[in-house]
This record gives sequence, structure tokens and C-alpha cells, in this order.
Amino acid sequence: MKLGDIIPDGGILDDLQATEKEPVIRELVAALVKTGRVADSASAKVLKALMDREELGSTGIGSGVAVPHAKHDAITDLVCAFGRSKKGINFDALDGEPVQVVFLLLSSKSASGSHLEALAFISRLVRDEKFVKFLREAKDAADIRDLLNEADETLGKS
Amino acid sequence: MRILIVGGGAVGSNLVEQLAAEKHDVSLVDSREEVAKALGGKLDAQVLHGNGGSPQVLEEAGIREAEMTIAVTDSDELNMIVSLLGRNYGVKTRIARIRNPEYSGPSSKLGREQLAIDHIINPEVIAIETMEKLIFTAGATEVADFAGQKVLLMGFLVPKDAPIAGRTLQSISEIVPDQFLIVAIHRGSEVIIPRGGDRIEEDDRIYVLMPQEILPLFQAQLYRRVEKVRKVVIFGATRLGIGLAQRLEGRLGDVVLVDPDAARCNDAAERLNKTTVLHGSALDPDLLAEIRIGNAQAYCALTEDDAANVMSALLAKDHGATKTIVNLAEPDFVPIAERIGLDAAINPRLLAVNVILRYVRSGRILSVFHLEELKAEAVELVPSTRAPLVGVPLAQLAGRIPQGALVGAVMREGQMLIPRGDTVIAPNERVIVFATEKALPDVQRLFVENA
Repeated sequence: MKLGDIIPDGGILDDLQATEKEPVIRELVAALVKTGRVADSASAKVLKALMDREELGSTGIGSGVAVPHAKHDAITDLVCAFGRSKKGINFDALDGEPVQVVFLLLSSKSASGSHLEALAFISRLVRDEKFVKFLREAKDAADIRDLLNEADETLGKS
Repeated sequence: MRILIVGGGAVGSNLVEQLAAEKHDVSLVDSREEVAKALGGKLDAQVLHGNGGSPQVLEEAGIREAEMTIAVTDSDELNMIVSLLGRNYGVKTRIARIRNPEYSGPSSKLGREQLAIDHIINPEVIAIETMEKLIFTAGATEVADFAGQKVLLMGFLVPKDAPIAGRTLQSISEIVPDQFLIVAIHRGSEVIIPRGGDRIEEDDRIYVLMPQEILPLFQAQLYRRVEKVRKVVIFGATRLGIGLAQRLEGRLGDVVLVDPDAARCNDAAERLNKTTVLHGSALDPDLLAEIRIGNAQAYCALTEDDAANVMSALLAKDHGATKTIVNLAEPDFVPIAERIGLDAAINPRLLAVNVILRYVRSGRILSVFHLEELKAEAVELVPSTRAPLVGVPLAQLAGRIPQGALVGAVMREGQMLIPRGDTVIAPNERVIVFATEKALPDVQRLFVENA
């Protein structure tokens, strides 16, 4: 699995507008709808699945990172959207700190291995505080994509 | 396998018990006549009274035929001699308990080769590493790892407002599918190997298998906030206490070590850099208030007195310490400590047994973690090519997987997978099974041919 492959063009938002959890998730789902990877008709249900997951424990895993995720029948292939917030998001994170970096992950109900693999990959990635700092300070979406591609190269091998 | 164990203390006798039950050919030597006699009557093994450093005694105990020696007497020196003799008798694998870092530490003047020991076991070091993991994982009461640390088995206490409390496993897995598997629920004195319809309740102790990366996501399902560990208070300037302080003082700002003995305090102060060493007793409520125990994320009672450890931990809890960890020499106290609200109990000897068992088990069994309280084990196994488990969807085996057992995880391409009914296991994939002691033999049969 490569992050570069599962984040479609247009799936990177370098300046999230919202500062609360649900509107941020909505912004990212909308971006995926625009790329065609999530059907417009399914977006409300997908959003609900993501929020149901948040009910069961915030996916704000600390150090300014959140990984909202859900599985839904309307999704065919594993897909990810990336969002960066300059203002910080109130994500109700485990450490109580605001979130600046969001990886939103969606997959089909039948995909089990790849979903977990992607989550684990992202979790390993964001353990590197320097990398998270680079993402926070990246110039624009293209810059962010370069960083993620680089991470695919280095972490994918290990 | 023919195994010679020297030293019939808690570690030795426990090992004999487990290894004999697994049909290994075990003999035990102890220099104390009463101990040898008592164990001889109790254990299913040849027990000899004699000096483990004597070639004659070891020959009598079968060292010539032994494939492994395990030297776990209280004396490092004797354990070294057993291993040296073992080498001279051609014993393939030699395991020995060595506590003194002057012998086995990084600055030791004795090389591995000179020591003739393949695996050095230091119960204190194992206990310290375990405590460190517990301290930095909020809510965790037990921790073990599998598949080269890729998979964690952890015990957690379910707090009152836990997001997953009150939900069935089925309803949880609909929302958070395939990230972790709850393998056991400990409720009061009952141990439940849960199925989808079972519900998680407040105050349950749950045992969870998960890829190590998932830990923070799982924690959030139990706790809404996790405090950063800033302060840890340790009672007892023992090997355990000082060793833990040494590990912690590099990682956090505020480590306090308390001991009622002035000489031990001085010794500790010399060996520690940033830790505050206090002469006093953690059984003194005034002292606990003075050191602001209420701000501590963890209190570790590591004296050699079980009763003092338990009492002081209760006091610390009462004064607001977030997590309490107690050293208990007496294994029977462990379940009681947890019942009265202490978070985790550490028994270095039992931990050492767990580690030694990992070296003994070979072939298809890669590692084992024994959960004394649950009377259950998590076992990492590799099925043989024509094992019943291989090549068919797990659902078809439902009738053959005994009650009290779960196929918990499969390692596929370096990644943990939570098996489902349609999962097909390939030969040589690592599988982690969780089973009660009663159910384990039947599960293991699924991993070998002609079962």
C-alpha cells in the first residue's frame, strides 16, 4: 500500500477552514466527492459512519494528528483524504490538544486487511514528530504530496 | 525435550510444573533438602537433593542427556557454574538467571562466550521493562507482545464513562471493524471468552489483541483523555526501584524514590541523577501529601514487603495517584490486589518464567504468555502444512475450535489480520491463539497433522 496511490488528485486540502471535528470531516468528505471517489448520494451516510466511529472514541491520537476512518458499502476502493489546518481543530483528541493534521480513511466493508494496513501505516508515519512538523509547515498541497510520496519510499521499505 | 533445572524456588518449580505438563522430560536439582523433598512429592519430575555445582549431582540428574539447562538458583555464581558445566557436558542450550550487572551488564568483564550462557535471564530487568510499558500506557494492567513486537496483548480496566462500555462486541465491530480483538473479559471472578453478543461493562478487565500501531486508537475507546506521564513515585530503593528510576529519569521530569532506610537512600542517590530520593515511608500519609502524590500518573510500590506494597498503594490511590503498580512476591496475592482496586501487580519471578518458556518452546510454538489470573494463555503458533487449520475457511472449523478458545490473529505479509469466518490460513503463517488452559490442547491439535 502506498499513501500516494490512495490519496486522489484533489484529495489534499492544505488549508482546512473548519475548526470543529464534524465540519472538518465534512470538508474532507466533500473533497473526496469532488474527486469522484465518493458518490455525492453516499456522502451523508459516509459522514454518519465517520461520526459514529468518533462516538466510540476520538481518532485524535495525540501530537496534533487525527485519523478519522470508516468502512462503508458505498466505497469501492480504499481512499484517503488529507487535511492540514493552520488554525488547529478541536478534535477532542486523547491528549486534549488541537489537531493540525488529518488523514481521513474510507474503505469498503469487505476490505479488512488493506484498511488496517493503511491505518497502521499512517500511525507509524505520524510517530515521527519531525515529519508531522514538516506536514504542518508545508507550503502547499503539492509540497504535502511530495512529503507523503517520500514517506512511502522510506517507510514502505521498512 | 530433556531439560535439567537447577534451583527449586518460585521460578524453578513453576517451570517444572509447566514443562512437565507439556510432556517434557524434566529433572530438578535443589540444594535444600526440605525443598527438594516437598517438590519431589508435588511435581511430576525427577527431583534431586544436592549441590547443583557438583558434576556428580548433575550427572545423576541426567546432564549428559540434557538438551537444555536452566539455572535459576538465588546465586548468580552457582548459575554460572551450572552453565559452564553444561557446556562441558555438551548441553545445547544453556539458560541462567544472572542478576548482577557486573557479570552480565554492558560493562561486564566476562564475555558471553566465557559465561557459556545462551540466554541470560534477569527477572528485575524484565519486570522493569514491563512496568515501563504499563506506566506509559494509560489504563493498561497487563502487557505482552507477539510476532516480534508487532502485536500487543494488553489488559485494561474499563472505566465508568468508557465509550465502549455497555456495548456488545458485535455492535463495536460494526463501527470499528477488524482493528482489535477482545479475547477475554474478566468480570468479578468470572472469565468470559467472548462472542459477538457479549457486552463490555464498567469495571471489567478486558484483554485485547491488536497491532501495536492501533494502541492509541484503542485507548480512546476506553478513555476520553489520557494524561501525559510527568510524575512517577516509587516506594523502595530496591533493585527494582532503583532500576525503574534509572529508566524513567531520562524520560520524564519528576521521579521520586522513597525508602525508609537511610543507607539504601544514600546508595540510591549515588546511582541516580535526576531522581529525588527521599528518606521516609510511603505508608506515612503526611509524606504522601508532601510529595504531592496526587499529581503522580503512577505510583510503584516495589519494596520486598508485599503487605507494605499493597497498603501504601491503597494510600497512594486514596491520595489521588492515577495508576498504582505493586510488586508482589506471592502470586496468590495478585488477584486480590486487583480486586481491591490496585491497577497492576508485578511478579518478577512469574515474568521470568514467561520469558524462559519462550526459549524452551520451539518448533511450531513460537511464544507464550501465561495469564495466571485467567488461567489462560496466549500462544503464537505456526501450523504445519497439512494441519486441519490450514487451507479451509475458519468457519468450517467452528465445531472443532473448543469453547474457551479463539483464533485471535494471523500474521500475513508482516501485518496483523483479525481472522473472520472466511479467512483461510496458509501453512507457515504465524497465528496467535488465546485459550483457557483447558481448551489449549484441543486448539493446538488443529495446528499439527493427523490431529
